[in-house]
Amino acid sequence: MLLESGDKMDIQSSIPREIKHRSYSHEKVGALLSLLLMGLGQLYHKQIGKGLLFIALEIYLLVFWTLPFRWAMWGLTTLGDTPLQRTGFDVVQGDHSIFLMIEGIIFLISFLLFVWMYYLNIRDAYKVGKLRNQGIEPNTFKQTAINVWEKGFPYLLLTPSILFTAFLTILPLVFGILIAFTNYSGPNHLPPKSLVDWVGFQTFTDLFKLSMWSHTFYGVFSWTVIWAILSTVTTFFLGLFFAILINRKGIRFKKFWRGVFILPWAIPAFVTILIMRNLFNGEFGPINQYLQEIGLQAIPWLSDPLWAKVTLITVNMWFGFPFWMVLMSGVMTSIDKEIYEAADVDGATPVQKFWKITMPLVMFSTAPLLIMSFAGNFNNFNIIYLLTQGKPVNDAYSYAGSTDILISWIYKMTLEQNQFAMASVVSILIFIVVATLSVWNFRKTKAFKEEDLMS
Amino acid sequence: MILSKKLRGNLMLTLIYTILVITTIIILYPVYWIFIGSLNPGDSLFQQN
Repeated sequence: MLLESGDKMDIQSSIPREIKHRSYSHEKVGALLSLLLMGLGQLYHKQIGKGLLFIALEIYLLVFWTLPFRWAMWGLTTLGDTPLQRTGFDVVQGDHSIFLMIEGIIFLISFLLFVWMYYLNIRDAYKVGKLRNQGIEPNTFKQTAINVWEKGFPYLLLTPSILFTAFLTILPLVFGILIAFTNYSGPNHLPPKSLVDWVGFQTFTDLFKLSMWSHTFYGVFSWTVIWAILSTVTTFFLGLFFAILINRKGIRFKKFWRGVFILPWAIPAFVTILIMRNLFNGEFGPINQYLQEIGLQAIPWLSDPLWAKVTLITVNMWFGFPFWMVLMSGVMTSIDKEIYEAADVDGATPVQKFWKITMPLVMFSTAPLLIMSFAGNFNNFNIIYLLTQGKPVNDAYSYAGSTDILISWIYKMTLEQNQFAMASVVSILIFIVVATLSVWNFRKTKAFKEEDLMS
Repeated sequence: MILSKKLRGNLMLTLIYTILVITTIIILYPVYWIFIGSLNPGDSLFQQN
């Protein structure tokens, strides 16, 4: 403390009396000037080079980008007002609502980046003012450049990735969300033939209130939840079951069994699913032929709504369980054998040992993955679309089959039926479900809290 | 009838090996199809009646 107060005294004694008297307002004046015009605060602090650069940037943006920005904002708010017109055989192009929307979003993101730079400019003027109050001379342009190069080098390297993230990640996300608040859908609102309008929450209301949409949504959503739960639970417990079987004492050729059971995981799922579609074909698939050869009836594996769902779960089990089996094997081999020996001494039965020792330890390690697997299966487009294509047809549904899950329904609505607005609404709902699960998972799991375990 | 411990153990092992063998067949059958399919590109693997 003595040293610190001594230092302060030294510094204060080194500050000229004149500076002390008028130092109180440097940061406020600098910040205020920078607020009025970028770079003015820096000029006030006698940082000529930096100040001129900021001023040049603002003047450039004001001169060259004000009109395009106003045009883009007009496009974003109105989505155009001139539709395509035909006069005889002549076609006069009108406004393209979707292009106007994308352009508007790009300008909006650019504007936010500009606002951020403006804020940095004000903060810089404020900080330099504070230093001046303490009697420290502001950096010259050369010193600033060296400072940016040395201390701000990581930020310089990060700048391209920030820009890419802004335009390649945030732009499509915002675009996808905004579509939900328009009437962008066929056949009446498809640019360039016709304009798209903002409709607020109308599409959300339609999804829940119009029976043609709500009936499909509730049906597909409930099957999606059932599918996600069953596909996760079945693969999890099948993997656990085989891990226990193979790791059991007295079982020979453990490596062979593990090697064979890992095969479904090694073959690309795309190929496997297509092969499975052939195997389960109701008319000429080999499985039905074998059934008929032994005197049983052919089963409509892919053409009956219930059987198609059973087939999906079965096929998913086929290539989903090896992952869990390998994971469980790893977890189980790391469990201390002494715990089981202690349980034997206490007279525990194999069932008790499983539920009281094995299961809690396995769940501790795999619970976060289990939840992520649920979220993954919620959006498991591949297996649904490649195996059944959402079929068999369901007359009660709009643009969805009996085995469609939300993500495959979205695919059909967008790529086959041009129902972009409704698809966007459904994708927002999927996002809410998956994001909630992921956040809950990250908050609950101890894997990110107990960092000491890794050190 | 009470089974001896050894017999029970052997029966359990038989059951486990049966499950493992059946699962192996179930797993290898589609894999076999994939390999056969790759040997005869363009040919149908179906026996259409």
